[in-house]
Amino acid sequence: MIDFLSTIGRRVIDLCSIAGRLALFVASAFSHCLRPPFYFRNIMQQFWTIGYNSLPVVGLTAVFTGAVLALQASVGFSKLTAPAAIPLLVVVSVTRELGPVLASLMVAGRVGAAIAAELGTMRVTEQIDALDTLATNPMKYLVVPRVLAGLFMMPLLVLIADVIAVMGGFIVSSFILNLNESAYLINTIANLHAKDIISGLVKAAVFGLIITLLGCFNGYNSRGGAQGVGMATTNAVVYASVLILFFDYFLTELFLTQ
Amino acid sequence: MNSMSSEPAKISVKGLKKAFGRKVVLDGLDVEVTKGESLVIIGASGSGKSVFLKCLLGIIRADAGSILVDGEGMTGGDKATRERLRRKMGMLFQGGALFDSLTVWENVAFALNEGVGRRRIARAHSREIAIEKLNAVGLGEDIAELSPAELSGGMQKRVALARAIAPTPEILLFDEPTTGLDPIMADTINDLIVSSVQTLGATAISITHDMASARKIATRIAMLYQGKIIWEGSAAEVENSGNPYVDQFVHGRSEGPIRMQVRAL
Repeated sequence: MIDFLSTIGRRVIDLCSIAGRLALFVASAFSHCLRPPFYFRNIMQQFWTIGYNSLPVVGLTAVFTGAVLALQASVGFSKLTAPAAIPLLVVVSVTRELGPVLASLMVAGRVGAAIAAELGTMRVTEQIDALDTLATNPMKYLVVPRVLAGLFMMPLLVLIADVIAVMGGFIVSSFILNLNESAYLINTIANLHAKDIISGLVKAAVFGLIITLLGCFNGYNSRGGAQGVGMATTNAVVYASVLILFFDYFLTELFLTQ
Repeated sequence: MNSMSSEPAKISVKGLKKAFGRKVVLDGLDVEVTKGESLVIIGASGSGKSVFLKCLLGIIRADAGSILVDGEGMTGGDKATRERLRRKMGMLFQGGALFDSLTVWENVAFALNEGVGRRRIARAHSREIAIEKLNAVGLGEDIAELSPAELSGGMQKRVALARAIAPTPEILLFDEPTTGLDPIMADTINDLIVSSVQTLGATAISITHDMASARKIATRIAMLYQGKIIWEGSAAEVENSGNPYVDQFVHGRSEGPIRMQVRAL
C-alpha cells in the first residue's frame, strides 16, 4: 500500500517538475524570440525545412481527407440534397477542424521528431555546450528559429491544406459521384466563412508552437546517449499530439462561444 | 608549487561544490592557475573532472564556492560579466563537438561569423582566417568544404582544436584531448596543444586520465579525487609524489587506496 502510494507520489512530483521546466523553457524561448541578436540565416533555413519540406505530406493528407469526407457524405444524403450538402460538409469541417488538426498531427510526426532527434544528438555530443563556449546562445541559435518557423509556417501549411482538401472533395464529387461541378464550387464559396478560416489558422499557429516547442524542449534536455535521444523523439511526438488534441478542444470551445 | 604568488592568479577556484541530487561530485575544490601556466588535472573516470570544466565555463552552476577569472567572478556575477569572461575561453571537447550541419571551415570560423560581441567580418575574410587556423593544426585547404562527418576521429579533433583557438582565447580548456585516438595521433594532438598554447600565450587547463598526455602538456599536475584536489606538483614530481593515491593512478594499478566509482555521475 505504501509502495503504491509512494509510486503515485513520485509520478506526480515528476509530472510537476516536467511541467515546471517546460513552462520555464517556453518563457525563455519566447523572451529570446523578442531580443536580438537574430540568426536570420537559421530562421530562413527552418522556414524552408519546416514549411516547404512539409508540403508533400500535408498535401497528401489534405487531398485524401477531402476525398473521403465527400465519399462518406454521399452515403447519408439523397440525390437531391447531396450537391449542396457535400461541399458544405467538406468545406466547414476542413477549415474548422480537420485541416488544422490532421495537418498538425502529420507535421508533429515529421518535424517534431526531427527537431527532437537533431537537438538531442547535439546535446549528447556536447554541440550545445560548444555553442555556449563560442559565445552563441543555443536558445537563440537553435530554438528561436524553429519556434518562429512553427508559428508562421503552420498557418500557411493549413491554408494550403484547406484548398487541397476542398479540391479532393471536388474530385470525388465530380468524377466519382458524378454530381454537378459548378454546384460544388458555388456551394463551397457560399459556405466559406472568414471566421471558420481564421479560427482554423489560429489553431494552426498554436499547434505549430506546440510541435516546435515540445520538439526543442525534449531534444534540448535529452540525456544518456542514443537511448535518451530515442526517448526524447518519442516524447516529442506523443506529447505534441496529445496537446494538439487537448488544445483543439479548448480553442474550439473558445471560438464557438465568441 | 605555486611559486609565482606575486602575480595575481589568472583563474582562482575556491571551495567549489556541486552535487546532483544526493551525489556529491565536487566537494570543496580549490585550485589556482597563474597566467601562461598549463595545468593538467588527472583523475579517474567519474571523479568530477568534466563537471569542473563545465563549472569553469559557467555551463553548470556550482552550488557553492567561487571561480574568479582575472579577479572577476564567474560565479555569482551578473550574466553580462559571465558572458564576457566566457569569451576569453576556448574549449576542446572530448568528442570534438563539431557542428555537423556546417562545413569544416564554417566550424572553425564559427565564433568569427556568429559569435556575439565580436566584430562581424566578411565571410570571405573569415574563410581565410579559418584556413590559416587549419594550417596551424596541420590541415590543408582541401578539407575546408568537407562536412565533419567525413573526417576521421583524429582529424575531427584537429578541426575542433582549430575552432577553439580561432578566436585567440586567453584561456584554453581541454577535455580528455587524447581519448579515443591511436598513440601516434594522440602524440600529434599533444604537440599541437603545446604549440598552440605557446603561440597564443594562453593559460591552459586540461583534464585527462592519459598519463603520457599529462606529462607532455603539463607544467603542473593536480590530482582530483572525490571532488577535491588531493595533490599538486610539477610534471616531474608526479612520478615520485609519495602520495599513495597519485602513485596508484600514475602507475595504473588496480590495487590501492582508490576505490573506483561504479555509478556514472
